[in-house]
Amino acid sequence: MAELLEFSDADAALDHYIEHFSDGLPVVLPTERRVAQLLAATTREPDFDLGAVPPGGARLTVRDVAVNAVLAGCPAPAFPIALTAVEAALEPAFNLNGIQSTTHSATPLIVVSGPAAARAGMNASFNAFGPHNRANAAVGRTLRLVMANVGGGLPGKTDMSVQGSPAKYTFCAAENLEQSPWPSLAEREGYAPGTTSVTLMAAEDGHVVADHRSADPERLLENVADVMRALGTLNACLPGPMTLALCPQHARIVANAGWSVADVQRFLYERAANSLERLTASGEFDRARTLGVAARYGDPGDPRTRVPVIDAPESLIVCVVGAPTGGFSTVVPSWLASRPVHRPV
Amino acid sequence: MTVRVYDPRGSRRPAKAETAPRPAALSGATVGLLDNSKEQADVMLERIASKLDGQGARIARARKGSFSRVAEPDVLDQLRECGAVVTALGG
Repeated sequence: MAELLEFSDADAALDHYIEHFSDGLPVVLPTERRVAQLLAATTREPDFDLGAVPPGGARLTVRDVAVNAVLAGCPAPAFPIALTAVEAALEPAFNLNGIQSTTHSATPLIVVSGPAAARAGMNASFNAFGPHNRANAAVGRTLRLVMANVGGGLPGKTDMSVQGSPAKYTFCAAENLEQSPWPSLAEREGYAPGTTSVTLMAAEDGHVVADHRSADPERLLENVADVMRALGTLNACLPGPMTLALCPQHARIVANAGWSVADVQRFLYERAANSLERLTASGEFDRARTLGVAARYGDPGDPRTRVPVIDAPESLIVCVVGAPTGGFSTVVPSWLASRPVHRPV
Repeated sequence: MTVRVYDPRGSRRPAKAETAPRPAALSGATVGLLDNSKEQADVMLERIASKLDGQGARIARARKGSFSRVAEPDVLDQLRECGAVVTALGG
């Protein structure tokens, strides 16, 4: 069971916690009362063992998640979502050990899809990926603080990220169900209507796709494809998952032409690709690895052979995020040794 | 007034692992060379192997399947008898 540390007063405790147990920003002290408030928001047993957090290997209980959620400023209604995100991150396919220690800037992107997001006060509209919403900030930050405090992922010690990224503070938004013309991401993952899911992908920062000119899906998604096929991403030479957070305006343009999410995924699988000629000229081209991958898609000896940046149409996680007031979507490339995971709240 | 707050570092922390003692001499020892499979790690390890040549050490080579994942159990088994292991991280 988590130990209690004693300090002479609250200021001394706060100074110690900001210095040793925070991401650099102020934290909320995990007093017994505050931790109990979060634990009351879940039916899970406080002492339930969720597993070891890599790379340090300390065991994590539900209470330990609540302690870090208090630090992160998590409101009680959002705690079940934060807890689900942490559990998802511990699934072996996600390879949290690799995410924690890679030289890449990878960090978990969290998309929450379903009615529990709004009930928890999450923001799916204006500035959804940005600051000023406590639940969005705290859900992402809870996972990051678990990774640092329990997993020991600290810069230069086991977190060897060359530059890091601002997304490492928190990278979490809710899907805008009111503005989406399609079934929710949770429903497309196979959950029953009304279920809320949490989807995680090992992510770079998002890259904005600005487009206020395109009126048809092909023109609009060609713009998206061009951002997706950028040579500097790891996806370019090793196809894998990617996330496309379409803004409501872009989603509506595509859906009004009769396109489903599967149509978007198929189009971008075909269009967001690079020829071997382009891949060999620059970027992370590695003869053995890239040509090995290229053989899946065509003749590796032909410079015209095209290598997609996503390894299957369904590897593109499509969600609708943001306000219906402009044409700005976001493409999020991934890190090469992790598969996305999702869990119901 | 004193305050009590939860320690956020997890419930059960593993004992800190100690590094193995350095071998007194390389003569007669088995030295493992673990390639993490990233670019040019093999180049560095071959350079080290050539430096070890003539010092009486036996060389055991092993290679991880992916530089982004932990070493597979059979890879670690290949190194279990080593008196020392050098790992190269390419990049």
